[in-house]
Amino acid sequence: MNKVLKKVRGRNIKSNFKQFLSVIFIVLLATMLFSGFMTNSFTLKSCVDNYFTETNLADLWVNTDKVSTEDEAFFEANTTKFDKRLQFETIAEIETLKINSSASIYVYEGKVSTPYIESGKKGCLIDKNVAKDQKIQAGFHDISFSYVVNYQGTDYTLDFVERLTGTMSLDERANTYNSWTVVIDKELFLERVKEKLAEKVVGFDENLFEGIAYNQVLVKTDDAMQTSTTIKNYYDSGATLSKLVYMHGREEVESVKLLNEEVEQSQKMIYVFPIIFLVVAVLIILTTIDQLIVQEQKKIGILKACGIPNKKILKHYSFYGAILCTIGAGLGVLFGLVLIPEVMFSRYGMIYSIPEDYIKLQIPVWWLVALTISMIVLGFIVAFVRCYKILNKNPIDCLRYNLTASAKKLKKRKKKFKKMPISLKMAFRNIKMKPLRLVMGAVGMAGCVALLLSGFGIGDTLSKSLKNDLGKVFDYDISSTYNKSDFKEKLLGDERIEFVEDYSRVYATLSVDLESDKVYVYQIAENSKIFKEQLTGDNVCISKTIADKFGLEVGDSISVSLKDKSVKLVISSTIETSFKNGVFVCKDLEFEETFVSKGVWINTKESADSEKVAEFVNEINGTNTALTIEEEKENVKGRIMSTSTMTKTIKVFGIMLAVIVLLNFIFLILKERTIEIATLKVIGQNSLQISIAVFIEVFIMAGIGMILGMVLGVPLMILILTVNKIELLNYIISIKFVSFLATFFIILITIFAVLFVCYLKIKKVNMAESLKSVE
Amino acid sequence: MKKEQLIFDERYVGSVAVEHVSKFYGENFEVKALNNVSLQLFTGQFVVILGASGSGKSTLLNVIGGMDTVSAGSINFAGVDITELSDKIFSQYRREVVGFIFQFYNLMPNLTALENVELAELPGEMLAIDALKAVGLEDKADSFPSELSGGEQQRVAIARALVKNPKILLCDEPTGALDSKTGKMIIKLLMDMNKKKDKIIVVVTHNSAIAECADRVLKISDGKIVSDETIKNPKSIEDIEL
Ligand SMILES: Nc1ncnc2c1ncn2[C@@H]1O[C@H](COP(=O)(O)OP(=O)(O)OP(=O)(O)O)[C@@H](O)[C@H]1O
Ligand SMILES: [Mg+2]
Repeated sequence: MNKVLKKVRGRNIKSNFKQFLSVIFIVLLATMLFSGFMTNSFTLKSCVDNYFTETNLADLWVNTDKVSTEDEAFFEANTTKFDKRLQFETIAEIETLKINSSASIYVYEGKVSTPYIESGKKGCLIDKNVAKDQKIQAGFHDISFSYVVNYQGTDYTLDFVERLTGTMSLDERANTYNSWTVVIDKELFLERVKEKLAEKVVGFDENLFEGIAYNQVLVKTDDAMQTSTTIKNYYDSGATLSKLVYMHGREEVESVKLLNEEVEQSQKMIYVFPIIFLVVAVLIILTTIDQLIVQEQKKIGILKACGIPNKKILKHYSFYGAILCTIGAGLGVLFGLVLIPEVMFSRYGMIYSIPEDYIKLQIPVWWLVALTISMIVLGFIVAFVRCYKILNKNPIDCLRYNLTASAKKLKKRKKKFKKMPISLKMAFRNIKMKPLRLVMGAVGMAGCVALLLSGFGIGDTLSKSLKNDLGKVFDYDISSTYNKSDFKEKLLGDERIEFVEDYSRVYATLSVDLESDKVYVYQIAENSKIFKEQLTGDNVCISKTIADKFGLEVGDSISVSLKDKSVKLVISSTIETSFKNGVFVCKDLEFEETFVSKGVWINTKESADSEKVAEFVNEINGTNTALTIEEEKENVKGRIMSTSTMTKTIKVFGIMLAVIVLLNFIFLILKERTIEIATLKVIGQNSLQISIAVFIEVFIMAGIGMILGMVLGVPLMILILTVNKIELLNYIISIKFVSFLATFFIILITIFAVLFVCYLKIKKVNMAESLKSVE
Repeated sequence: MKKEQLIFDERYVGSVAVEHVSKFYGENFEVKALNNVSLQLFTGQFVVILGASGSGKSTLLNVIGGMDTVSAGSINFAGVDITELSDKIFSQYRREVVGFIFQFYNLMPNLTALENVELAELPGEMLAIDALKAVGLEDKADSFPSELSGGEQQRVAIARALVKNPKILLCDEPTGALDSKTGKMIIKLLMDMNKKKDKIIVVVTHNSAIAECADRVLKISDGKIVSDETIKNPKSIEDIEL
């Protein structure tokens, strides 16, 4: 008997293959997302941690005017490890490739914040992503730039042409995809400087040369707070002649901040959307397995009539649920951890130059085991509960299942059905017979629609947020920094340019009472044509996000400070911004020049092609910092990659789920009604006539699901965005009517596609065979 | 308190006593499928139940076979009231005591003929293949129900009942869907099964010709037994025209 039961099981799997496949597929999708994003998050975290540990990322960056021998002795005594560095910004060029860019050049030994050499060897290294993007080859291309050295009280501008020896990634500049990072070995640089001085200065004496003026010290320490105080005291005490310019910790290094935020975002991803997906999937799994067992009712009846003990039947059917979920979860976990980190890391790799060596797949084994087991238990329980319910009936009721169920439920409504066309009547009666299936199908559809809609909504929110800042709050065509004095004249000389407006930006500390935070202060022209809010005189406008963070209102005063300089300001208005958050004033607050970055906003004439104009701006500026507003949007989008990836995944998976839910619903119906369909065919109805009854049922189910989903989609989107909040961007939540339409039509198309499959299936039903079939 | 064990009193093995059994349907129990039925069945008997459609024949068979519960009354088999049995023992009763043959066969569609019979195999009793041989279907052992004719399917169902050598064999219109020749063969099979006179065989039928070869004929009307005749010299199955 046991042997035979096993056979029943095997053959049931065969005959219910499609349903089983859809259960497996749903379980697979859900677990795949979960396991994938979880593995991705763990891998990313370990990768980032690894990166910063292995390369000895500095804890403190001490910027001074010059590092003297006394200073070195001080650092030797007070830190775990330190490295002095020369850092300067310059325009670098690779002549053979006709490209140039502003570059950050770092000259040091590399004991702290060691550059990770990707290819080639120490000497003159360039960021690997830049090299790849610009097709720069180490060992083949020369980089040229100039540097000013002091010898015997005179400044000499030295022109360097240096062969690149390798590519690298520098931990503290891992996110620089716009400007170049070049690390030059200390010894090599010193040698070159001496050579060039010897060429330039007649009678150059090496012994009289004071060496390179290092302007930065990278410090490793166990207690950054403590050490920074010690350092500050040292400079304040007058024990050294050099001056402390600026000191900061890791929290102000953008690449560290971004990578950490990326890790955080990847962790949130696990909790938000795979979980939501999991919930939807679980609902669908519940329905499907439940319906599968319900369909087995007659077989259960026969088994019972043969006197097979309940326990055995129960075991037998619960096994279904369990085995399906085991296969699905197993495959899902596997695919997830193979595919998703792969995809995510290829995208991370475009934004950050992370050394590939540090990317090691971290599999959260126990989480995944727990996930798999819970899916299996879920499948088991659903099957068990449903089977248990059926077993409680008398065997004869199981055998007569279809008849008894329909008769009871249909009796009372007879009159209402009288005038309806026969297909509609049939559809309604079928629904009446199995209302639970309709409800569960609708819930599944609602989940899919909600996912899809929230996917669109997140997209809308992102583009609205970007458009708000770039286009509404700031309305320019091109923005650029500049460093040449005749830059503006040249710009205005071009006929394609309508007007140019200056602005400057400072990263300063905003403090209110005891709270403080770093913010950007924009110094904008009075009555700016670019900035939406008109500012005059003492007017101060502040981003809503910042105002909310500090609990500020119009009329409140704030202070903005940088180094020794502190300015008191009174807020006169607030403005909603998304990522260009800051304090906006229309006068020069007179912060120290070196910290103020100057730029221009350019509006082109209508007829002009802003991309071409931007190229022209770069040409006269000698940098490639000019960006059109569209390019700037793309940049921001790149930085919020996780969110946009999520949007796409949600949409795709939403549609996939919808297809499965619909197919599943239809297959269940068709399977149950093969005989009915064959009978109708015998009577002389054509396939389309027969299909219509099924179509109506599907439409009612999907319609209810759609309405529910549309209603649920918006809160779902808000939920996802709230949980997935990021520093970079303040979401201005919005959803367009078009998104509702798009969701509606995509689902509608999906429905029609699936109905077509259904129609083909009905067409294929063979009368003789089906009517003979005992099922 | 439901009984947890199936212990038969040996003295009574071989008799079924239906006592004041009623079965009602409908919200207000307005349909009386069985209305206070009492009767006793004895081992060795070949009982035929006749009655108009809807008179309660199937219902009676179902309650005796443990396929359905009763609304009132009790059914005793070998001194055990089966209406009092727990679910577990109830299925043991169905498995070990009762063989059931349905009008529409009720075979597992996804098992072959042999496997369908194996489903009911009991340790120490006949082998499934022998049961199939007995119904003359050993060459169709590996066919699925959908590959068998109606008569063949019914014979598989009989083999399935036969294989466990049941004390009670209940057949609900076993020939209803078959032609007379096949029907005759089925009835003969059933009668042959009782050569040793160790079973109670109950056959529900519309066909009064079958009644001619029965030991006992019960007539049911409106849920009540209206006549109960014992036939001294039943005809041989060969002599009747179905
Ligand atoms: N599940 C049910 N719900 C309501 N009434 C029922 C149900 N099952 C049977 N009945 C009623 O019980 C009565 C007896 O039914 P039963 O199936 O025993 O008749 P039968 O004698 O076997 O008829 P037939 O010869 O047509 O098979 C009938 O009137 C029938 O309408
Ligand atoms: Mg009947």
